[in-house]
Amino acid sequence: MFAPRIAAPLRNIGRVQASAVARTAFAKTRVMAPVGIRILSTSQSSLKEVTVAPLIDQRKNRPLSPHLTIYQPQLTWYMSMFHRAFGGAVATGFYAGAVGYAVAPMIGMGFDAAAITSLIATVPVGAKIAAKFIIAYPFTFHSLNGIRHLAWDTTRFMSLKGVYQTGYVVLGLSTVSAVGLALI
Amino acid sequence: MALRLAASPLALSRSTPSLRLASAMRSSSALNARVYFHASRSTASTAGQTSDDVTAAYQAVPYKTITPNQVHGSYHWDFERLLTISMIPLFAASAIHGAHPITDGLLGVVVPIHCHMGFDAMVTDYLHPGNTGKWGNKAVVWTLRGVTVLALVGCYQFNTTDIGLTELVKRSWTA
Repeated sequence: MFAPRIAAPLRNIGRVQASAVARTAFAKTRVMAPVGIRILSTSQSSLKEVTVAPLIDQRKNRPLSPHLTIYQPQLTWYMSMFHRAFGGAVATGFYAGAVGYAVAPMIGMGFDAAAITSLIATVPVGAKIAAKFIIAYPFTFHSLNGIRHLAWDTTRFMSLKGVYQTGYVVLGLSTVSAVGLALI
Repeated sequence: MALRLAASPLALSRSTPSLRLASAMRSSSALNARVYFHASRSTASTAGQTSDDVTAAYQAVPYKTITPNQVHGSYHWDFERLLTISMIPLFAASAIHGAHPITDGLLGVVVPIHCHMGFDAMVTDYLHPGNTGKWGNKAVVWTLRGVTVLALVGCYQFNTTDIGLTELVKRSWTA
């Protein structure tokens, strides 16, 4: 009833003999593969560079949803943010001084204690007090808030009330001590 | 009960060459048990294959297994807190007693390490491999380590060849 299930190309039996080259090419691509198997691949590339790279490029062009700008300002995350920011600022200043002192001889820059103190002496008094407050406040805030962090690490003041009370204490003490240090 | 053994070797000798080739391919494909569209139930049962073997073949290859490292995790946390706690009496002694080689030497070691750990936390949060790439993150981390080493060297040199950290703060603050 149905034609016998033989490899399709063999139905060409009885046709005119093709050239030898054509016949071998034909044999390589057709005769040795039974019906049901694909010889040439029709699937797409599976390389990550081809499939994933366009998605990454798309992501780079998309805007970011607002986060810090829309979250309600609260003592908790504001103080955490300033703890990190002030810590980074003081550390940057410290690193600049230390690394500058280490590499100054190589560059030929005169960078030692005497040069620094003589440079500071030339600054007017008002600017000196303002600058000392600007330098002292991040230091005192980070130090006192750091003690608050260490207290949390001992599981103390872990309630919302404790967090807010210690937070206000740190804010008050750091401002007072920074003003005191600036006036030395 | 005569079975039709058209593909048997006995029958092949009597067929045409072309039909012989066709039936040979058919029988060889059955013996190889190649899967075209679905697994043949007969070959699976004869080979003793169970469903577990089939599912095991599709197990995802683990990307990477990370061996536990004591430097990470709680030991790192303990070290960070102990260092921070030690800074309190250190700064207090520096402020009350003034310049002293031991105090200044310890400050020159403890403060750079504390700064390094803080910067490292910021790099982990804001400059991770997800947004800077694998090599961008590596470059930043190793640059930070190099800068910390320079800071340690600078503090040591200042403490030994110059007036020391505590005296510098005292003199520049009251200059």
